[in-house]
Amino acid sequence: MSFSTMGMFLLCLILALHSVVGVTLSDGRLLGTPWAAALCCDLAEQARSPRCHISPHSSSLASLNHLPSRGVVCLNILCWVDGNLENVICNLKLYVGLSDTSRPIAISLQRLPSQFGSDNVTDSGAHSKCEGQDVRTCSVALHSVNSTVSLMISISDGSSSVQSPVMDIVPLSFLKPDPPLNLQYHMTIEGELRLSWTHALPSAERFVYDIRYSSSSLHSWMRMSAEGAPGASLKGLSVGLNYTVQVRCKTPGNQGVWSDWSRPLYVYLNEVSYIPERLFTSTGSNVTIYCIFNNRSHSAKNAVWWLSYQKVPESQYTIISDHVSSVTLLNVKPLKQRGYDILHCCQREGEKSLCSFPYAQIYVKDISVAISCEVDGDLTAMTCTWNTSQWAEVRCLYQRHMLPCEEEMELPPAVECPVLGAKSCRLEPLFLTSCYIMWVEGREQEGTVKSHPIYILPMDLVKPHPPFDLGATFLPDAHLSIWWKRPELPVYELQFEVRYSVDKDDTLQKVIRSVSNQSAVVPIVDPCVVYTIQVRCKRLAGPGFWSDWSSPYYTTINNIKAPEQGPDFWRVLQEYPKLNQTHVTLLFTLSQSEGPFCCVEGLTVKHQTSRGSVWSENLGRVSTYSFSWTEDVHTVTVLAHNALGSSTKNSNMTLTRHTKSQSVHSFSSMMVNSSCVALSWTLFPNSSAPSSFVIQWSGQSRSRQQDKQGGRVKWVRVPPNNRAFHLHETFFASEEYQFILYPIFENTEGEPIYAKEDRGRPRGDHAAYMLLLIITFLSVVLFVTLAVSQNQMRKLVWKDVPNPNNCSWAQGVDFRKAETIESLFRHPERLISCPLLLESETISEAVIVEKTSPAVQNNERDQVLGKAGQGEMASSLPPCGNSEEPPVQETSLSPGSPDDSAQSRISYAMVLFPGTPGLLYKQQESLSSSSDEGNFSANNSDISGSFPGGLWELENPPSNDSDPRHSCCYNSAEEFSDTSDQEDEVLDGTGAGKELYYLGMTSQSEEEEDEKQGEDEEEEEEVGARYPGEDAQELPLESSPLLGRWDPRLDRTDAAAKGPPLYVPQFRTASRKSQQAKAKERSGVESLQV
Amino acid sequence: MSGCVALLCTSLLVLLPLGAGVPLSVETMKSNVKLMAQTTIVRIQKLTEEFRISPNMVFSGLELIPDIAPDKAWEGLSAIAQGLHSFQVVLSHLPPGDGMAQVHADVLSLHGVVRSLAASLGCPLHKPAGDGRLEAFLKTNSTFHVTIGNVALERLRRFLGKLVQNLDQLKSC
Repeated sequence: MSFSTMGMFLLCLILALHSVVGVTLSDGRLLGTPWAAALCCDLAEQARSPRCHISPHSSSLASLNHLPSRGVVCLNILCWVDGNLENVICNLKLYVGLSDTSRPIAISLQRLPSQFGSDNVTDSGAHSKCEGQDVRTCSVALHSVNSTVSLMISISDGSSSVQSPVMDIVPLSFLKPDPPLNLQYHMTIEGELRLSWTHALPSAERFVYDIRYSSSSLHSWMRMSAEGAPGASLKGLSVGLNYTVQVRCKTPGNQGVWSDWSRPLYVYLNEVSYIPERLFTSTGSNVTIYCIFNNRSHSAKNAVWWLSYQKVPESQYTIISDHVSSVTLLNVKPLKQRGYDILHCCQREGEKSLCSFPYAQIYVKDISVAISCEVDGDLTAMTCTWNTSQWAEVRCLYQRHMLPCEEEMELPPAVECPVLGAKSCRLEPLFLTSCYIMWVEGREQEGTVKSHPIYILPMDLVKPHPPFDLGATFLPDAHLSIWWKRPELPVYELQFEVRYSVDKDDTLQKVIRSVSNQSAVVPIVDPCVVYTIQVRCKRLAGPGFWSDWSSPYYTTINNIKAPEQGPDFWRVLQEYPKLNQTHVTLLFTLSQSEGPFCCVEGLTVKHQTSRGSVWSENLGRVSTYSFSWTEDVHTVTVLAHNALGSSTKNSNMTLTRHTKSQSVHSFSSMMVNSSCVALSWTLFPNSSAPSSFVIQWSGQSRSRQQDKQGGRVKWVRVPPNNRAFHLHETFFASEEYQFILYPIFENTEGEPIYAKEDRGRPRGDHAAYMLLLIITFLSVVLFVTLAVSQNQMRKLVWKDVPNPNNCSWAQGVDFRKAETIESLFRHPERLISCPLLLESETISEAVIVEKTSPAVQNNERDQVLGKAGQGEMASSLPPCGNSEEPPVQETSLSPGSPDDSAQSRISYAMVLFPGTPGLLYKQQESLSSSSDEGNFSANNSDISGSFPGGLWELENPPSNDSDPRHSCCYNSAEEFSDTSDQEDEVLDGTGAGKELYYLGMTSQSEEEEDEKQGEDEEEEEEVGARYPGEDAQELPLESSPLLGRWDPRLDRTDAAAKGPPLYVPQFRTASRKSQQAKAKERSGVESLQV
Repeated sequence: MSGCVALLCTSLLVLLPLGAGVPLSVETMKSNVKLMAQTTIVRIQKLTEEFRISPNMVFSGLELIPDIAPDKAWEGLSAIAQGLHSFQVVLSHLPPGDGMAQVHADVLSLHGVVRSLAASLGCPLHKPAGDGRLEAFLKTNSTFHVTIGNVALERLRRFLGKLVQNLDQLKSC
């Protein structure tokens, strides 16, 4: 006993020695704070008193190496008042000796009743059993926060119990607040990371805070303290590290207990932070966003802003501080696809921008979302759909007003439209004449994006039910009468649309708009087929939607009589000699129905052979039918039938292998155009008259002419009195067509005759080419002849020159004198430098021949027709539908515009000098023919020429820069076309005649024709030239310095009659013939006499 | 004698297709790789048409997303397979809308074909290791999926372009 008592006192002594904070034991004295004390009680010595000793500072007990002796129970006490100031909570850690570990020890905490001053208010106290094993926790309610509370701990082991001394506490001194909540952080414009948190209960109490943070690189907690408002700034954090931050709090001063640590906050500092990170704004507004460079090596001066990867102009940047920049975005617009813009703040480095991947997001709150609503046919519900998909959470809201939408509205609160699926909602019941204002809202974390509202009136959005109870009947006049019933709702007037087509053939669908009537009469092509009919409806006056198409209605065919006429048909034979049989394919021409009530539903083919076999086959509405023909004679009859019977007027065909009579003498075809072929034939005079003709044709691809079965066979029946026929069909240029004419007699058919289509063009082309070849050959021959015999040519030319003394204008002129010649041709003022032609010079003759292909072609066509119809077909044939005959060969018949004439119809001649070693000869590509003993170039306004230098210039044409007045060179057609206009003006001074008229050339054949003319004509050859203008009445006056003004309106004959027979160089322009006259002379000759 | 020659010829004819069978299979797989890669390139181009990253923007902090240097030679089929695996991890963490899911499916397909090709060539293939850092990064920064997605697609496009160009010359594992 004494040993245990000594042990307890020794323990208490040790505890006392270890105490740091003085603790006043009870006996009515207050306990200090924090209340952490050690209590040891001796349960064994019941007689002793006091049996319990209390000492402050629990840590001394925990560090005790010696366990209590037998019968002694020690408690390490830690008590506090909870954050609500409602309870005193104590944790009691139990220490017993090794021999007492099995003893059941019960501990309880008791708050003693207390009396409150003068009020005499008493409470009954509180008692709590401490639960737990080594550490027992118990809690008793506080009656008052401010007054002193007396507590007592009772310890019992079942056999004996002991109570601690009474301990008096002031609750506020033992307050342990709840840990801070909602710990978060944000960046400030100053570039600081600001922590903030809240408390569970709003309290006027100010706290002190203990903040700790750590990262994986720190390995220990960094601490900092704060006081006052719940918040603190963290500094010195590094970029790119994950930090854990916690905060706790306690009442200021020495009193109070630290709260637990708050929940950890994880902080990751990006290189750049944005303020704000998400911004919600309105369309068209200007917004400012800041960026903080957390990497202190980055400077705000080098900031570059990118809006959705597009650079923002630098004029919109602002430098806030060394590491903070801002940008102001102007007139913000919503994005269609993503719903928000992203903004990057980067560092300029040369031309590049170094960016961190985080960005700020800019949302535009008022977006455009297409909302469409539709009211059902019962007018009870409205379904609205929208097409936005960029928001995680979308809802449709609406406001409703009883007045129409146009009125001033005082709107009620918004209501959500019940969602029906992902992008639609449904409203019912409906207020048909109320104004609904609807919009869509999307939520995005901190903000809401709202679409522009739409204003709708349900009555304008009705989609009626489709019409029903359709019916239809055929009318005798190829029409179909259709009727239907309309839905009862909506009650306003409806318009209807009818669509109908031949069943199973939607490509031929027709749509007819019917106004307000519930019936329609529509035209049809064939009354003997089944039609599919559908109807839909819509509001007649005012907005609304078309209903769906009604269920299809199928017409029925009603016949009242059997068909009278059987189908016309023809056959195609295919021989199989090895099998000794012939395959016959019948081609039916299903005649148009004999009326809407007499339709052919099928065909019946009756066979009869020479051996007497008779059978028949029923077919549907087919177009072909095949069978094998093995007998000598096989007769088929085709009947048309429907449900009421078969036709009575039927055609039959007798197939026989006997020799057929030949009755057609000739048969020819000619393709007029791609849709018409002219056919003609003649019969032998003594042949019997056929009952009809059948023309059969088929097309074969030119590339596979070997395939004789390739073409599809077509046929047509022609009346017996026809000898010509225009076949209207689409003929393809890539195919070759063969036509067969069958004379059909009463019981048999005659010998067929074949013809291939004649397109006309190839033969015409060959003829034109041959003609061109001949002309070219003749030209070459003439050229060689002239080159070899210059002297003979000169002789020939001068022999033909008329005697000028016979001319009236040359009376009295002595041409033997050179001066006379010179004075005669001298230009009054300007052409002095160019010597005139002397009498020793050779003057050549050039005539142009222009052969025109169409004439040749016409002749060919006439020949073809004449061959077949012996000349009568051309007159007897009616014209084709397209009577315009396409030009077989493109040939320019007239000079056309003046430009064309100057550019492409250039021909020229040149003056030859005696002794010229060879002819210099140039020819344009467009020259159709040429034959000349020398070329002569002439302009109607320029006859000047520097003849001594002319030869050189012929070989070396002057450049365009040279002065045409001094070049005197007109051998080059190109030169004329380039400079003649200038020459006209410069040389004439009048500028009257600007058109170019070039001399023509004549072929040798034309020369021969000319030679056949009389002697008088030889002396008065015409001067031929072409005018570019169309109308001879408007032709310009010729301005020839030599001949003076000459009126081109004079006709050619007059010009020839009045023109003086010159043997000196003179240039004249003949009046161009009228278009009609020229057409007759397309192959004529234009001659020029010099 | 003639019978021996005929037998020899017959044997050669029978063995010829057997010998040609393996290269044909490899060629087919290579063709499939090219086909898939080119298809994915076209898809990426269409996907990034509206928001194409300016060539003047260089992003940092995305080093975990594979980025093949233009002048760097391929390490082999295993490296290609690993790269494709990383790309498919990135794509799987991006919002699937706007066609991203299809690109992800394409990369998965391509990854499968490349692994088959590597296996047929006898290359040792390791089971794709889970890239914990990459996944943690993607989870942490899912807010910034727009730029991460665009950068990843651009790098994937370059990766596939180089794959198409160099596949025929690729001989190492």
